[in-house]
This record gives sequence, C-alpha cells and structure tokens, in this order.
Amino acid sequence: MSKYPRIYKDRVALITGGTKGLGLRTALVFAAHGAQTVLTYRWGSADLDEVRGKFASLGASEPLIMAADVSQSGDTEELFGVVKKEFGRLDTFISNASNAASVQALEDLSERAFLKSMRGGAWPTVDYTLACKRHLGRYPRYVVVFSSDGADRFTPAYDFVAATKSAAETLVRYLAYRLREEDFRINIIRARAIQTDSFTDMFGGIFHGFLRSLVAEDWLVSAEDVANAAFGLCSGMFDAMTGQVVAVDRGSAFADGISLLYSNRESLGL
Amino acid sequence: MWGLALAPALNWNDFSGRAVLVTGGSKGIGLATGIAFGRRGAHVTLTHKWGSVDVEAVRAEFRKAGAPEPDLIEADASQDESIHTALAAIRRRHQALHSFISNVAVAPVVQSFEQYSRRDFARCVDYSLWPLVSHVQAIKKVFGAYPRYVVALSSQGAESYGVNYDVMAATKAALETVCRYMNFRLREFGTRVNVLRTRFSRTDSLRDMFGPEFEAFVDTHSPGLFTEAAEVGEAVVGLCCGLMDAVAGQVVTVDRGAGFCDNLSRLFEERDRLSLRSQKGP
Repeated sequence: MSKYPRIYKDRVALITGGTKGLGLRTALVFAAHGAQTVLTYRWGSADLDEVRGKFASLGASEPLIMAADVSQSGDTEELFGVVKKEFGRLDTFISNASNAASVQALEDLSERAFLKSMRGGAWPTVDYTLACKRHLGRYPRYVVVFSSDGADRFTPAYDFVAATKSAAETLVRYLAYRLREEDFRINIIRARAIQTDSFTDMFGGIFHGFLRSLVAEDWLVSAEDVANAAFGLCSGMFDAMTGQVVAVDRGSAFADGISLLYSNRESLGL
Repeated sequence: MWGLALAPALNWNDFSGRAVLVTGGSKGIGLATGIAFGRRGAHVTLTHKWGSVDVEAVRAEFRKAGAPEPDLIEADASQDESIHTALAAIRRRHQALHSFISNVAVAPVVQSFEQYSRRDFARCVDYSLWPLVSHVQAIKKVFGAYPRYVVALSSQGAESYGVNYDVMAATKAALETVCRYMNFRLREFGTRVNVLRTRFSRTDSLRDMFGPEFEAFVDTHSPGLFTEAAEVGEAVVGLCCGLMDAVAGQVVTVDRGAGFCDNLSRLFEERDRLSLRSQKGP
C-alpha cells in the first residue's frame, strides 16, 4: 500500500491522454494519494494491461480507461456519461491531451489545419469543463491545463501548437473569472522540453541529445516534475490560486539564451 | 519501481523536525505562513521588529493549530549582526534551515511625486529587498549550507497601480528580478528561490499603506478581491513541500484571480449588481 497521505480517497481525477508519458505519470501521483482515476487515450498504442499493472503495483484503484478523442464532442459526451454512471462525480480534471498539427514549413500553414488545431488544442479544456457541469451537476474543484513555454518563445514546428496554448491560456483566465463564485479553480502549467513520446514525435528524437550537449541533465524538466506540480495545485494548498500560468521548468526558461552559453563557453568548448 | 520513482514527494505534508524562518512573522501574512508550516509539524522561528507583539497570543494561535511552539525573536532585518543572532538561535536546535520565507517589508507611504525621496527609497530597499539576500548569505555562514527553499513575498503593486505604493512597488519589482537571478546562482546548491505575489489581504500593512477606509471601499464597490492571509500561507508551504520542486525562479500569483479582473471593464460588466451608475452622456 502506498504511504502517501490519502487526501484523494473517494475522489475522482480525470486525465486526458492518461495512458502514456506525462499524463500517465500525473495519473499515478493522484492514484498514489488515493484517487480513483479516469484515463483517456486516442492513439491506442499504449499497452493497457501494462498501464493497469502500474496502478496495481502502487496498491491504487484500477483506473477506468476509455478511448476518447478530445477533438470529438461525441466522445466527450460518452465519456462523461460513463463517469457519471460509474462514479457520479469528478473532483479534478487534468487537461493534458492536445491534438495540434506540427508546422515544418510555410506550406503547412493552412486555415483548415489551424482551425483543426484550435479545436484539438484549445477547446478541449472548455469542452470538458462544461460537460462536467452538464453531466455531473457541478464543475470540478480543480482543473489543471498543461501548456508549454512555446506560447511565448520559439519552439521548432510549434506554430499551431503554440497558438493553441496561447488561446487556452487566455480562455483559462476568462473561465476563472466566469466561475469565480463556484468552488472551482483553473490554472495552467507551462513546462518545457519533457522527454516523452509526444516530445520525441514532435522533435524527431534528436533535440534532447542536442540540449544535453549544451546544458546539464538537471536543466531538463522531467514528467515527474510536472506531475508532482499538477498534484500540488490540486492538493488544497493552492486553493486561492486561479487563472494563473505557472512555469514548471526548473528556472530554465529564464536562463535560456546566448548569454548562458557565453557564461559557460569554456566548459562547453564553444 | 513506480513507487520508488514517486518517492521524493512521499513526505510532502510532513515538516516534523524541520526548521523554518519567517521574517516579519508576528502578524498578517508572515504569521499566517508560520502557522501553515507549524500545522505540519515544522519548528518555526518568527522574527519581528516593530510594534508590541503579544507573544502569548501568537503562541496561542500555534497551539490552536496543533503546531509546535514557535520561537519569536526580535531582530532588525537590515542589520547583519541582528540576523546572525537570530540564526544562531535556530542553529542551536537545528543542523539545517529547511525553508526561509522573506516577508519583512517596511515601506514609505508616498502621496505625491514631491514625496519621492532617495533616503526613503534606500531605506525601503534595506528593509524590504536586501533582507532576502543578507539572510540567505548569513544562513550559508551559520549552517554551512543554503536553505532548500526560499520564498519572498511580493505584491501585484510591482506591476499595476497601488495606492501610495510607488517606492514599495519599485522595490518589489527589483525583489522579483533578484529572485530570478538568485535562483540561477543557487540552483547548483539545490536551492529554489521563488516569489509569491498576492494582491489585497486584510492586514495591518494594507491599512498602513492604503489608508483605513480602503478595505470598506473595496468591499462596497468590488467585493471578492481579498485573499485571506491563511490562503497565502498555504501556498507558501506548497512551494516548499517538495511537490513544486521544478517551480524555480518564478513569480507565482495567489490572488483568487483578482488581478485579472480588477479593472473598469469588470466594474462595467457588473455595474447593476454593484449599484454603480453611469453619468448621462452629453
């Protein structure tokens, strides 16, 4: 049995894209604290028995795992119908999954791809939050949205992803205002350069090695860092925080630039 | 295997045996922060300088929270000797200082541009910014190591207008920048430096700065903008508990969302509910 304080006993946490990478890691932290978790996936490549095994080895409740594409409102409706039937409540929603197109060249900039990216990247947070109220009669107490510093600073191929993150961040501020009299808070975590499958998909697997040649391993954010911070925001300690963007990046965005390389030029052989 | 990988956060809610120092800790947000640590078992030292502190009342609040008895030490946060004496007292009981909360601030009330004074500015820096630096340097000397967590309290006055806040606002802005650099400098020692910003709390500092009528004015015309000192204290602990270890060199705002919607557009939106009438147009 886990020795973590079981502050999520009898509570339900939904994590989109919860069967792999950052989503899975976040779900495990909630589960270790007693939560019943609900995990969604789209790509279907995760071995679900292996996923369940990870929860079992923590002594955690078996997660409810459902295929649901965050871009499809029909899937959202079906998912919340099942959550209502199985658990009747949702305390925490972690908006992790995001489908936005990568832009490799100028020709990839198309209106269709942009709108599709917005639907898959920015809208799901709003869609799920409203669906929660519709199906379960109240909003979740905590919503955490995963974003990235690509919203502010250059990231390769990130044109549409970054735009959806910016839009999501703005929508979050307004949601915090609109629901300010509810027992509801919504915040954004901005991480960067986490070594996960989606990171590898996006950057082709060589970016991480490139980074490692220029900065120490401990500059790179881990999935565990972000998962713990997401849990922290939903732990009760940050109940007066809402509508905020919190960077979870070990301070690396602040120092990221040519000045850092200059400071370290001798050890880097530059 | 996963259990082990999650281990760093295992004891996040337990501060038993850990030493925590809060400057300006005898009232308001400092006191609330001390209690938030104490509730989780920390041995808290509160420093204070001005005003008569009712030591028994502070102790009673800790008892009520089920917290170990705190130490209250009178110390001048601008004087190295005074800081050293306070730290030496903690060192007698503890090998290490776990968390340092830089809360102390002394600000001039500025009512006009004529009142800007170089002397007041320097004094504000001495009492509201430099203690962050001087305490952390002194902690290294006394304990042989930096604290694991440093949190400095700031305010949204650093970014947007606050009544009479000119000099304090400039000092807080500088404080926030210093925090980012300190975090960069201290990261190799495993120390995390963050700023926690709030907007309005019902504290003596607010009354001293904004005047005695401000609170009632806000409650009448824009209710819901206040954050409880206890809520700020909880968030400070959150930054020091292990779950937020990758939050470093950041300014984190804990204000119930007030900063985003404290503007005329919102008053217009809510004018009926707030009974704010507009003048007739020309």
